[in-house]
Amino acid sequence: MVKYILKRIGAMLLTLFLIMTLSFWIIRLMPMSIFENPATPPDIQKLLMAEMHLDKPLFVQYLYFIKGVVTEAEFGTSVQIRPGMDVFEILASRIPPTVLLNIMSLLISIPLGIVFGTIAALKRNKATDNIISFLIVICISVPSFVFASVLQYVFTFKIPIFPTLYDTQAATFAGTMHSLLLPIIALALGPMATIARYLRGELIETLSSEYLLLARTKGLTRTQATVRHAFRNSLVPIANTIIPLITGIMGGSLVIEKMFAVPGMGGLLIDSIMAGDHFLTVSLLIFYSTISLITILIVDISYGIIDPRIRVGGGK
Amino acid sequence: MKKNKLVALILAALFVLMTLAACAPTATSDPTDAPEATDAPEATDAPDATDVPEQSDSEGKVYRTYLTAEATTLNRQDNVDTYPDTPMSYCSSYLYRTYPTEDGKGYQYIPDLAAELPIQMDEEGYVWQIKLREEACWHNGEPINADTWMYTFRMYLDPILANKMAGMFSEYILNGYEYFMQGTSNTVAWEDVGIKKIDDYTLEITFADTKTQFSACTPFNGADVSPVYEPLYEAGMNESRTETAYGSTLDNWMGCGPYYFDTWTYNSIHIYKKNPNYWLADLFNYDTVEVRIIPEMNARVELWEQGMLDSLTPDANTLEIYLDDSRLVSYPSLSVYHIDINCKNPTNPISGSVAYRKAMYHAIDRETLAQYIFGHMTPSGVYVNELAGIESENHETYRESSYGKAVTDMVESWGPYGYSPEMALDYLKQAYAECNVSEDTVITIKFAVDETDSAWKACAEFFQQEFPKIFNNMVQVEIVTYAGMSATDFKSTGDDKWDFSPNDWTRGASRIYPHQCFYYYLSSYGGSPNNYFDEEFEAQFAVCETPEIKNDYEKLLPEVQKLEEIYLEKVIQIPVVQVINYELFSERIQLPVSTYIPGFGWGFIYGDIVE
Repeated sequence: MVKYILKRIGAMLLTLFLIMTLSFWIIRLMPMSIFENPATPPDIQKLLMAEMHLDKPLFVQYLYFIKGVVTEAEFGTSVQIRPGMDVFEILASRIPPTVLLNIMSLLISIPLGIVFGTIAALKRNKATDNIISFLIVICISVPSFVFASVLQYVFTFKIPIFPTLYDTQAATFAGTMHSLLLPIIALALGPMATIARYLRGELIETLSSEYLLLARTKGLTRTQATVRHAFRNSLVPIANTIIPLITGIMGGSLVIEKMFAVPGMGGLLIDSIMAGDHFLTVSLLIFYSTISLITILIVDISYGIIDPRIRVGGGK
Repeated sequence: MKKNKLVALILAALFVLMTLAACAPTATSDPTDAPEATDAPEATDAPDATDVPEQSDSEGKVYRTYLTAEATTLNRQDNVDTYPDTPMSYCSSYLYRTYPTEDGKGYQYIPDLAAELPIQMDEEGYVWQIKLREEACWHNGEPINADTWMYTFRMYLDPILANKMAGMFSEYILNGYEYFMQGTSNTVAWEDVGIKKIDDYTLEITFADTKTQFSACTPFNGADVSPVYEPLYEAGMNESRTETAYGSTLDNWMGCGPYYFDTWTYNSIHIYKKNPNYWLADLFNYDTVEVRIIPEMNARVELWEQGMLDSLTPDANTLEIYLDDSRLVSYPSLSVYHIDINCKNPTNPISGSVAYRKAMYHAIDRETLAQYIFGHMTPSGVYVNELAGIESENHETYRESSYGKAVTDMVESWGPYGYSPEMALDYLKQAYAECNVSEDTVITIKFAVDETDSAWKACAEFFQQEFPKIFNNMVQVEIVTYAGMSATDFKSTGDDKWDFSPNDWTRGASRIYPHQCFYYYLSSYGGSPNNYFDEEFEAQFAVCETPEIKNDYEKLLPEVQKLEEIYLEKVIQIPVVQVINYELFSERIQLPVSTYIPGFGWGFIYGDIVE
């Protein structure tokens, strides 16, 4: 298992390096100057370019970039979004609220999705299943920002039991969560429905399989057979859906963060692209890629736990 | 199996750890968090923390407002955004501060970091002395004196630092522009620039042109001319001295204003607490100012409706809801939305013709655009804005003067706000004839617009419908959108890419000198958004700039009239609407003025809370 994990980490680092390279080249080839002040004398512009090695060929710039990242964990300095500030510092200040929002929405969506999916499968074609399936369709079809708007209007304006905006000044964690609950719910609904839908389909198929019938004939109760055999086998494809869910939540939180004024990563990528802050843009792309790769790693490892047959080369 | 459980346990622990790591309160996890206002860098001989007055825990009178986006830096010398102006106006100071006159209908300059108004030192009004306030100090207690100012101005105009805001300020000062723009050539010495230290508390300024006492204060009122704290400015400087990180966080910035910058949770909230030791503390009534960063209009409206904001600037859609609200006020802006016309498009055979420009000018139904697309703005067939000249000696705007009215009357004689489909068609035919283009040729006008600019996109769609009707199908409009770049960048991609490009550029100096609003349309301005330059127009602008005309408002007005007439005759660009600002104020705010005062505004900073 350790060898398997090390192999996966090695593959992850290689992928990350390729993404870093691609990000650097794509962003630097964009037709936009980092220094956009027409009033700056040309010789000063040259001086500024030289300061950041921008006067050198792109490949040499790339080598400077890789050297900075690998040897000093140095991603450069923001020139537009937070002029003069280290890009890593900017990310460090923005990541906590985004991670909190996303993890909390996953913590809600995964268990609730599993519960609703299981109930719908067990109550197949009954009223409960129909109601859950209908709600699943609604939650999948409607974008998270629509839910956010409705929740914000109802629970902060009509029935004001939640604050309109994220409260960064809350003295307690409970206070923070109170102000973050609406964006968490808005973000959780889509992934919850996706998980429920997948699980329902998988469970229905598993519940009608012959090996489950055998388990029942051996004397297992329906609950025992479902939990010990059907449920575990259905989790393999569900684990696979978690990767796009996490990246989807990250994408959704860009809008939700803006709506609830959460000072996270939301919008930073777009702002940096618009402002031509290339160093920051590349760093953000690397950040999002890293999150996705770590998620893939965790899911790959969890495959091994759910189903020991799924390991690289069948290795232990 | 045991191994599997162990891995599962590790994964679960990792998940919990990530959650807990993220659950740390944001206010303290942010490395950019504000230090205590009492913090001073170790490198300096800062006074003890006990030297700084303790801040009261009680919130008292709280003024609650918002910004639509966060300030990228508190170093306003090198930032063209206006977002830092809010924290700077509360937490920093200027030599001269604007303050309403006693009747509340105008404003005056009062000394702030200066001890008194400028003293004229020569007959013409070029040389002025500024006495500095001896009790003025930074928030850490260190004094602000002539050395502070000499360092501030030297850094502001430093040719290597090339601060983005310095260009405009440099033009006020003798040899300032030459010094700032010299790059690395070292042709102008700092000693030649018209800023001198006379003694520890006296500065002498030699302006590039003559000033009155009022206009001598103007260059020294603004966030960009706030003093900078040398130890932190230098600490943030890079090796080649091309950039400083001063003001990127509260750790490397120092205030000296009526409020301490107490909390800066980036992209979320600013909290300013009153500085009771401020030398003009009596002018300020709020104990605390809370500024939230709220990018979303809906969230702003909800907070306004809940009484959690004291002011709201509605957008065009929101404005419809509040049109009958007694709390709504309106006032004109310095901006006249206009359209730049390309005169060098190789794919448009008539682009070089003045008659073509005139045809386009007359083809624009400004009333419809102002009412239905831009939403309750004023149609405008002229370009000099409604505030131009408001800060002149007698506060009469150019548009209110007989000279400005004569131009407006001329435009009205063509049709409502210059709109005349008949004249448009005649001029287009003239352009076709001039350029030897047969009348069955269909001209395609490329309207280049930012993908995210819904109002101008709607405008372009309106033209797409209207122009073929007005021009008997001789003209069609193609909408060309761009994203992720400025209009200037897009236009630089090629003259064949655009014919029309919307613009809202304006120039603050037009408040004093009306002709200054044309500054960006001169060939001498390097970053001009236009490629059409006219010798007669530029010669008339030069006439307006001569000191004997520029500094005598009565003489300036008729010259501006001539300039604007040439502008319309040649159609330097096409004016569309005079921008009108709308604002809502809560009833708990008592403002120091009864009406909007151009150049001063509503004076929120001097307001009071009346519950």
